[in-house]
Amino acid sequence: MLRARNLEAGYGSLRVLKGLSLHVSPGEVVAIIGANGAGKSTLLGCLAGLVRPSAGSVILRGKEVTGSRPEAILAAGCSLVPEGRKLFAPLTVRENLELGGYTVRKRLGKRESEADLENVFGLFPRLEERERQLAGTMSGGEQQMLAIGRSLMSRPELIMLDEPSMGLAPLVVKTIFEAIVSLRGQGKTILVVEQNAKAILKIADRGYVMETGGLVLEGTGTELLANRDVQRAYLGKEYSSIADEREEP
Amino acid sequence: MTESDSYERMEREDLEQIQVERLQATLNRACQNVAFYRDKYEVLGIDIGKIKSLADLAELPFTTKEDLRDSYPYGMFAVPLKDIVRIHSTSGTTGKPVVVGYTAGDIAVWTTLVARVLRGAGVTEHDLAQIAFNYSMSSAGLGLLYGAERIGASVIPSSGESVAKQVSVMRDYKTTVLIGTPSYALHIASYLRENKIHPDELGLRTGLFGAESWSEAMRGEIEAGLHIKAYDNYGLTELIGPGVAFECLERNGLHVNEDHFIIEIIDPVSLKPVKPGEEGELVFTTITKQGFPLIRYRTGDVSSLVPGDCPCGRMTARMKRVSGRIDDMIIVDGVNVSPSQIEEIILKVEGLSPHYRIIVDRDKGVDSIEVQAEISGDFPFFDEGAKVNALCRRLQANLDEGLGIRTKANLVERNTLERSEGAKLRRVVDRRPR
Repeated sequence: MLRARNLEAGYGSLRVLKGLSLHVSPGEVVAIIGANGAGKSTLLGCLAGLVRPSAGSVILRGKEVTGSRPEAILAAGCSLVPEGRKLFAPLTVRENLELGGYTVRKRLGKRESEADLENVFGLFPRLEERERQLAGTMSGGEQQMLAIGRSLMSRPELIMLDEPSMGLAPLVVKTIFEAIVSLRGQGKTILVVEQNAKAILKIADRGYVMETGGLVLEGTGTELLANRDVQRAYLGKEYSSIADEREEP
Repeated sequence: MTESDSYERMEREDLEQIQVERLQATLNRACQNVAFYRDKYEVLGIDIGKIKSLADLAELPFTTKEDLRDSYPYGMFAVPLKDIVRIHSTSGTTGKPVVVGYTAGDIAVWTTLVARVLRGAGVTEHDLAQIAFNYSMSSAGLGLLYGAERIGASVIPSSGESVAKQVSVMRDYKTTVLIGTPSYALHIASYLRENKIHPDELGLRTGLFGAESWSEAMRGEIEAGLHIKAYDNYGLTELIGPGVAFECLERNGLHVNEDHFIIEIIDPVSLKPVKPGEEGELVFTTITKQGFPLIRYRTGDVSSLVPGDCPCGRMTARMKRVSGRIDDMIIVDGVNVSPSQIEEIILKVEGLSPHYRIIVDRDKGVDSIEVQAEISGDFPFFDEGAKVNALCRRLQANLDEGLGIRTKANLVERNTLERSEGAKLRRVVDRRPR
């Protein structure tokens, strides 16, 4: 689905990505975890066409898209749910969703677009309840649902999510992560950058651990959850509590 | 097919992507956590960010057994000791042992890889696998135990029990798969012969042998002596233990677990990669090891890559069976002779056993090779001097014809040469002054 090789990117003299390679296979949920400043958002930016990589290559569904503009990448089937949602606050839920489908509306026609809308409402019934509400007046969790819903409206194959759980209450995080799982069930491929390492690794097929612009680990969600470096750095576990856990049968 | 095994059937391009990702992550981690790599690369001015492909691996220096010995015991560990759950070490036959640490994650990966080895040889949950590797310190026995248990076989850890006990367990417990060193398998075969036990009295059908190099002729001996199909597998404690490469049912080269190890074959003198298919020294890079990553480790083992695809469907590269050790290559009068060549010749002489020793010496500046072969238990005339002499002359004639250098053949009484029981055997004794 997606294959990145030796991506380098930076701002001015600052090297943020130092030759990073990763891939996402069709139907996978792949997580990227890492500390603040590791370069995770820059990485998603490169993949989505928002940041121009200074070296390396990005292949999306067999097509070279390195340095392509965001709309070209969207057209190639990859959409980004940005950090902080970036909704159209003065517009209603429905209008936000319709704008998300803007690029495909002409091609699909009204009936198909309506079906896509229904699909989003199926995933997040809350959005249907709030169809006429202004996006800016909704709670953080509802806004995140809307941001995901809006990205689905362009019928992407690959959905990239940047910190979807940020600032959300645990119960809402659960809803969002359940939505990720059900999107995988619908055959979508998902790449997600996430602070909440424990929750995302539990549902992810694979994950990467990023440190200062490069990857240091790759493995299945289970493997990474069991890794002591990951536990110490991202799961907030002290050694004593890790040892305690191991003594349990 | 398990999820992990899907890596064995991946298209080359997809596999390479994973190899590059894992290599880059390994380099980042190794330089962060192991002073040896960090300092070495700094001195050589190597920027690991420049390693962008498998070909770029050649930019990095080799790691040698000497390096590992210098780091004795824990200098090459990439995680704190509290994260290490197991420590194995090499036998140390030729110097200080190499000490290798495994994290819990390493053990989990190891288990998956050895399971592939056993599945390759057709072992299933219906099998009873008797593991006759000595478990002490070594990685071989435990590694195979994990793999066998993972696929659901019933494991009998007979370890270093006497050959009599091994055979009685085999017979009573109805062992179907024998796992151990090839020389120990031969030892069992000769025990059966001496005690007039027909191999079919046992339920053995398959054998997996490793930890030393063994020739095709030796495979024939084992198969005839035990009435089994014998499979080779390859691994080194330094790399992980068993689980690096293995034979499938086709038995045409060993499939390398390339999603965890990158294989290279180099010319041991020029240190450059050999041409595809040419023989050279095996070099491996671990790309998933946590506790003890190794970058471009020179194994000292001689092999080559097998060209073409394997009918079994696995897409991984295959290496030829290891034909010997680089340091066992005997150079006499500028001619290169490997012990495996001599072994093939010995095994073709009826009346000789597969146990032998090669003694290289120098007298007044002239090199000499003495080949000591053991008279077989089957040879009925072992106490008739004239017949023994005739046997010796036959060996001498075959050596002269097969090697193209002068050797001196000698016979020794049966059961006098050293056997390997779990440990590696050194068959070449070089007495020349260094």
